Amino acid sequence: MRLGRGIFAMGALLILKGSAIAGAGIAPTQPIPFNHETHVGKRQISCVFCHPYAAEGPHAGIPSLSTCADCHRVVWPSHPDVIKVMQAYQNREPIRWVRVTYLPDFVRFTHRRHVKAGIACQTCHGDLGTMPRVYQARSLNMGDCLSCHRQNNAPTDCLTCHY
Amino acid sequence: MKRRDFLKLGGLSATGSLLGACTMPHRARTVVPYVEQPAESIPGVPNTYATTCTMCRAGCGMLARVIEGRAVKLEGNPAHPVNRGKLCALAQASLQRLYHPDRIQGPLRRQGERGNASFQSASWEVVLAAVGDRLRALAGKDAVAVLSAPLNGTRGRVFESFARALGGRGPVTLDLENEETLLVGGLASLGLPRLPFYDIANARMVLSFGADFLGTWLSPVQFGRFYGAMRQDRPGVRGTLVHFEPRMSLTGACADAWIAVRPGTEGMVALGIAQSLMTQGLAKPGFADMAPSLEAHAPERTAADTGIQPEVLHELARDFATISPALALAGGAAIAQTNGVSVAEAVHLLNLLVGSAGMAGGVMAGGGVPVRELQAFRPSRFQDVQDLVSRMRSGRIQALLVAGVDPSYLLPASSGFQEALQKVPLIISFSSVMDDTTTWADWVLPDHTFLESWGVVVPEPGAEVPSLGSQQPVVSPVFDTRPTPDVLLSLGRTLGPDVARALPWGSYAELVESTWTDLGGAELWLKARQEGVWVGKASPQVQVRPASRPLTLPRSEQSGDASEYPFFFYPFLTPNLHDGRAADLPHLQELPELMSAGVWSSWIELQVQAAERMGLVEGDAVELRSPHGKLRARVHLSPGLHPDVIAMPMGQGHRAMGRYASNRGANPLAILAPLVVQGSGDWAWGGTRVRLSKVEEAPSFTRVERQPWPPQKAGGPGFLSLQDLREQTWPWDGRHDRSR
Repeated sequence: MRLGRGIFAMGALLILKGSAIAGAGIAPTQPIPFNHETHVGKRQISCVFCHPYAAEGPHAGIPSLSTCADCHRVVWPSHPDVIKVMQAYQNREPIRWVRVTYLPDFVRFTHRRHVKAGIACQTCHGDLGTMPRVYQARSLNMGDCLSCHRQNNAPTDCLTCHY
Repeated sequence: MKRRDFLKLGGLSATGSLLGACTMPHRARTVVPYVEQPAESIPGVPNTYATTCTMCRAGCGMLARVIEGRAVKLEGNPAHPVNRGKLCALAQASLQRLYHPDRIQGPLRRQGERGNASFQSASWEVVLAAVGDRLRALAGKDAVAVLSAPLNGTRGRVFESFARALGGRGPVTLDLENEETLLVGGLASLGLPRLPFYDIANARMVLSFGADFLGTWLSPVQFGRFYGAMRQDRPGVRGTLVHFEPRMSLTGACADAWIAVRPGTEGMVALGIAQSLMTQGLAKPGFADMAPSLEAHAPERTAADTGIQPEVLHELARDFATISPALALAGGAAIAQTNGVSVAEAVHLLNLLVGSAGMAGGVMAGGGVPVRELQAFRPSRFQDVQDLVSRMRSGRIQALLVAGVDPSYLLPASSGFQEALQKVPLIISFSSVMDDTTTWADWVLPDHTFLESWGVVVPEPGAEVPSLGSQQPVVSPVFDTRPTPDVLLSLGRTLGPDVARALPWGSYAELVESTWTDLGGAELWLKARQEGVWVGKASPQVQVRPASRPLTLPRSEQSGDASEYPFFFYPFLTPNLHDGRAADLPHLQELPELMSAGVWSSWIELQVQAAERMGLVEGDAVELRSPHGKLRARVHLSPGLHPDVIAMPMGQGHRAMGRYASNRGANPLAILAPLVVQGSGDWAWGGTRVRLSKVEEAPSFTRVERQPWPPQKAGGPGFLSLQDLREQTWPWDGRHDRSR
């Protein structure tokens, strides 16, 4: 009984502190507190403006520093976090982001297929326009993927994702 | 639900998701994007670049698959008429040199004594300035020599111009193919202006003298394609291949008949078949005047020398004349004899006698190259090498530049190269690896690998149609190396107006581009890079002009008396190690030699009965002695060998060439005699005799097969199979199944 409460307390503490462990629901602390709520929610920037590879290849990836610099060389250059980003760009030092969305190695997921099928990014990644700090919105375990595949008549053969 | 339970459930679900998160491995925790978004590549999506392989002179077209700026796989280019999408082992493994841990990563300056030196890194500015100062003082005095691989294409153009401007002569080139012998033989007998094109694909009978064309000779990928076409392309036609070679190579193993011929007697065999054709009345008209000179070579007269029953040659002559089209070709050690040119002519005579010279399915003139400046290179002869060595020894050569070749390894001890090298005050190497020659260098200016280089490559001998290969970098340079042609151009500009005038190109890439635009404008420059090759139309066949004249066949001279040195020595090229040029690539060391299954070692092959007579068993350590040197190796018994012959694979025995090749095995080239092919000046490397004695110790010999020939009695000494090696040296963690 006490043990159960202890576990709960620790779990809650970790969630509330937003530690650097990722997983569904956890919003890890990032080296630069990039805010999707302002960029996507307020400024209505399209996902593929910064993540162009999502429609092109297997990995959506994280934008390169040059993508940030393209706007932020003139947009709010005095913001302390913008200054950090621009300095990193000048020093050719990439930002080491903490991964939020993780799939194990034995799952082969291709972004391009899904984006071209017309699935909105928010479907799997959550409503980023409301996230000041990114967290994994869905569990993204096999059951999660399969439910969507079944609803949309996508293949559910093992080799579709495990090859 | 009670509150307590609700809280417990809440805790459990939080823990549950935490547990899920803990399965993410640490290495996946961080995502590091690019600083600058790359223009060309999409992460995870490969780009394919077309280039040309230059591991040997065949010039096969190659496609490189590159993911996120890293080359990951090489394949053949289907558009290239030489290889049509196939690649050999050397080409496949060449990727390993790009990222090799022992690659020379930047310019080096020698510290300490030559040969025992440590090398210190230096910047290109410092090195080019220092080398430039030294060379400037020597320009135009015939005191600078360039030693390189055979010249080809745009790279050859720069080397030739540089060497002539600086030292008054072209580079001295080193190669074991003995192309000069083939050229002289072809010109004399058939009037061919360049290397002949053997239309094996359309032939129905092929007689091969010494040329392992499926394994190593000239352009094995191309010949392999032709061979496949000969066997399978025509319904109902299988074709016949008869191969004469002292050792059963891959070509011998594929042949319908492999005939073990005594080394040096291939010419007699060819003329025996020719004589038989004439006496059986099967020769084409017009050669009657040759009959008297052929009498001496009747199969009955030469049987004692060749060791071949006369009836065999008579039957072959009948087949050769009646199965049509038929072609005969000679190469390899058969022409690396003192009488090599005559052997080539004798074999071409067979083509003339059955009328296959200049015809489909026979010997033709290959497609030439439409760019005059790229055709002009004649390979050097061994005599040129000997001349260079004597100039080095006498102190006339004040600077030696070595690029693309390892003369300390390739040249025999009897050439005196190593001693003469010590007399040269300035030695510069452009090698990518610290090989035997480079360990003696004063300065190392490392070249790019061909995967990082530009170039226009002329395939040799080339396809049936004219073609030019495009070479382009498939990755950005991995290290601080520079392409040697560019280094020569920038050096050349600082060496005085005469040298600068001879090198009028701003950069090597500029020369490459202008070569393409001169040939076909900007469209061709783009197309060449996209497709990797320019293919011309089949030019009208150069008329083959036979020169029917009395043929003399001198005997081949061997170094060493038969009484003292009872065996012929047969060093052979292998499809993976070739002449040792790629021994540093572990893929090639791992590849078993096709007939003996030997890996990661060198060995000597002895015919089974000959070994029994000497009381030798598989794996015995022996010392092999020629009049010019000795080496140690272990014995492999082979049924596929002439009993008077000892064979040894080339390629090992590097004193230095990276961690995978250094101090491994022995180098057969080191003990060869400096014999010269009469009439061409090439190296008659097939003419050395040896003797054998049993010793206690020799480098180990590893095979990937357990069963030696003959089946081993109770574990012979020194015989180590790969299985043994794994069990003895690699720690197992118990999970591997050892029951096999």
